[in-house]
Amino acid sequence: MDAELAYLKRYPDVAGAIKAGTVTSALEHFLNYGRFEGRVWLGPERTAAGSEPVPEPPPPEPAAVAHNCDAILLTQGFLFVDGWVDDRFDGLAAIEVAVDGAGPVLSLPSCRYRRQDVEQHLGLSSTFESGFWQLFRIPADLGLGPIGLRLRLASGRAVALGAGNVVRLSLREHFEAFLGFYGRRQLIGSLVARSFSELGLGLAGTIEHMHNAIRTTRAATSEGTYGRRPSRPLLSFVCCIYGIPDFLFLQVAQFARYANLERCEFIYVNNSPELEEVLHRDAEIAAFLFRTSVSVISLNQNTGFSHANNVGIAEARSQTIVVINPDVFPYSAASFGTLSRLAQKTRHALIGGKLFYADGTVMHGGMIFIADPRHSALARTKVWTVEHPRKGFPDLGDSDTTPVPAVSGALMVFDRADYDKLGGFDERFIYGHYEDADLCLRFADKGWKVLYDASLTFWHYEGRGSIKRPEHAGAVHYNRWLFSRTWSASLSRQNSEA
Amino acid sequence: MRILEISLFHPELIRGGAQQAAYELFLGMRKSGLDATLLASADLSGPNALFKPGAIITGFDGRENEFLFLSDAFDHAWLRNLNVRALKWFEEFLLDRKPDVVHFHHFLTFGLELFLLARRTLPKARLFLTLHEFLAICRADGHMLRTFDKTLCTSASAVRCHQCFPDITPEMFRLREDWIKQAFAVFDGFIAPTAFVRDRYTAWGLPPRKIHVISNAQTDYATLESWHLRPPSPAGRSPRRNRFAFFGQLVDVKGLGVVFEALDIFAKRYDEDLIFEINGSNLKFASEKFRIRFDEFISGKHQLPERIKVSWNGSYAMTDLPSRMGRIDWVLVPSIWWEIFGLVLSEAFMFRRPPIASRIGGLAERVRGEKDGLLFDAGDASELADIFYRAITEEGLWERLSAASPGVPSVESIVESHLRVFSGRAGAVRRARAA
Repeated sequence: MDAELAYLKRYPDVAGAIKAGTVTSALEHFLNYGRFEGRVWLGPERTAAGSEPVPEPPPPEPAAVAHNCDAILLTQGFLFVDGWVDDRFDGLAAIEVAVDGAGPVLSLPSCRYRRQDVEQHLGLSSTFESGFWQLFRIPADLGLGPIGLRLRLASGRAVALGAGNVVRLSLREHFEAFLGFYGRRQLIGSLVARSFSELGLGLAGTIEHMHNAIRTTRAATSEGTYGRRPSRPLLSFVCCIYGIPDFLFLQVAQFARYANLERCEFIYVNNSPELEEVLHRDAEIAAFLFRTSVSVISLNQNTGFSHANNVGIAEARSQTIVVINPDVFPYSAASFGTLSRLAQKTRHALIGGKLFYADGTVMHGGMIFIADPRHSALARTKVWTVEHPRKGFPDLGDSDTTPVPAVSGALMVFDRADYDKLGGFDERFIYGHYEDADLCLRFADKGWKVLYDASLTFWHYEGRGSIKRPEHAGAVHYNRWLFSRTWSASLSRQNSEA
Repeated sequence: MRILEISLFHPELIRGGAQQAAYELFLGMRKSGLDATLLASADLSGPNALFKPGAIITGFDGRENEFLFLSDAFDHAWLRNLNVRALKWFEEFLLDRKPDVVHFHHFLTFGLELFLLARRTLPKARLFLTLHEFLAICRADGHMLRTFDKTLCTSASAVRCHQCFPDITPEMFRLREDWIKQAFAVFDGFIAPTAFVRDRYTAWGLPPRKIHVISNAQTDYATLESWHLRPPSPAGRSPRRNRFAFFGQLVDVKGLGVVFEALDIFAKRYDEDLIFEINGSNLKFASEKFRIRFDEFISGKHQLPERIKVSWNGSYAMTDLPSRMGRIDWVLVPSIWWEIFGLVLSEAFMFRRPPIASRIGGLAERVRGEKDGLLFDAGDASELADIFYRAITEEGLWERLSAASPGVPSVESIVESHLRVFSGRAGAVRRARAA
């Protein structure tokens, strides 16, 4: 079976595209579409007897090309290659991988990044992006045998790489390691623009596949409710905990300063398995001490903001949902009063409040969307960012309710039925960022209201409620790209109308 | 009036000023015929044999109305009790004893939750807290010393505290203050042993009208028969008043380092003989630098002239005070932190041993300079060396200061002051005076 047939067999939809005349061949499809969608071009398939031809051996190298393969991360279905090459005189065109020794060859254009250590090693006074990397999707049944790697240079010459340091990881470890690398890599030029380019050219598809595979492994490891749980609470507070357990107790305590909490329920969804026992302990104490209902649902991994909140909201009993960050606390007794007044009156409205930094300046008063001009110019597509007007400025003392493009997920109040109709937070976003804005835009898309209620005052000790890990930085690039791709047309229209 | 006194530790188990004051007050109440109960905490730093499987509150050594609160899960970061059983059993204890007054002396080892529970469980009871130190204000062990250079701190704020603990964000300090004030809000009143403490807590945000200044309860050991058996001025001593002594914890902030430095200066500057005795323990809590220096002075590795003698008598119990005080003339209180009350001043006053104290915090308030003691700037070893000389050589100084010693108020009077506050009469008297 040749590569053309192997491709068509693996991706039956391509045959349909050829029949419809969209493309003329499997190779054309791969070159123009497939490789950007995370599809792989396979060499000749193995036979059981292993009698099929093996990948061609690298041609003799006329001159040594300095290079190294630093790491190969391998898991079922995915392979990440990271290394460097001095290709100043013959540019690197693609990375080719043959898994399981005699297996098929995968080829993808290389992604590049800057390696200052290599520049130092080569004794260069100028900079160039010597690092290369690529994230491959590989057939799930491959990857157990030896791995062959080579770099295909612009001249057509192939440079065989050593096997590198092959590290076999679980899927989640692999995902985190890759995103950690992706968030930290150094470039010559704009990280945002390059990320948009790489994601748009197929990387996003691979990340999405990886993320989807991980999503199937999510599960709750324990659930417990402490205190008397009202059958129809006035308010259901849903909060995602990650990395820092202290906030469960402190948050309930802060609410208890100002209100009787017997008609409320607090649902904490834990994204840090190692905190499970501590959270159950504190939930029991908080429920006993403050006479309220505190539930803990502990998950087996960091599932991110969207999934955790969706899990928590699914358990909530109130019609009025308050999604709240662990580092958000009522500003005064009036804060709880405003929340209580909103209870069961939020139909077709998503409401955010005025959030304050600990120093008393305003942290949030609604959000707007801006197509960042510099990033957009560099990325040659609109890169949308979320901005908080008057962030860090003194409070104006306003108390009105006004429509806004979006509100922060740090504090959101909405009706359970509306949320259900929309299908909850979009779990395609990885870890956190942009899913709150996405929910607001979907609310608005329905013709419902997104409101900023300046009388709903809360403290928000932004960034203190959870820990930061390297993989989060990589996820932010993906989330921004996903958000921009999803909403760019709509936001452009809205902003031009405004 | 049924009173529950809640003390950080029992002085029988762990010595310390706060527990001593609490216990003296409790004993005074019992002696006055009041229905008082003591609940003193014990934690795993003490004798573990006192812990009993499954028990949170137990009796103590067969003593009437004395109980131990067995604390095994205190969280120093948030001043919380992490054992829900401890909270539930404390609630049961309150319901069982039904006190009209609950008087806390601390939150350490108990957890701030107990304040909230006391209010919830006994809505009609009157709740009080004695402010024995500044831990509520300052995370650095309540010392109010900047952690990075050990200079004195005058006020806490989220950013200033973050400067002392760079790993903890300002927001966390804001939450800490919120949580403590939330727990403190349950109290009907606070008792401060000095005006200095009252003023610090007022500046921190406690309502001034709620803070009452009452001296710590302290038995006057000089009135005990054992003291009278010992002549206060044993024969054979130097005719000059050249015997100085330190009483207290052997930790950095108590200022022994200043005395060591002053002795060096004194040795160079003056030719008089001088005896310096150290009474105290807990060297293990001192810094390594301090421990090394202490060891050098005690072992003689640090060279001082023969005429200057330094000795360490080890730890002491209250019952040892008569003999320890009997062989010295002056009591040094060289603290370099905001000493709240200075229990050792009470001990000095009761034995009419004039104190030489740092001009700081509660010490500066209690010692009336040149009347019943001498003051020097905290940390000023040079000034202290000059005071040594003056104390030894100035004719009649010791006699004058000793004669003016205020002694200590009787425990009965301190109990009476507390009862006035507990019953709300103290406020009424003050308001009447103000009017």
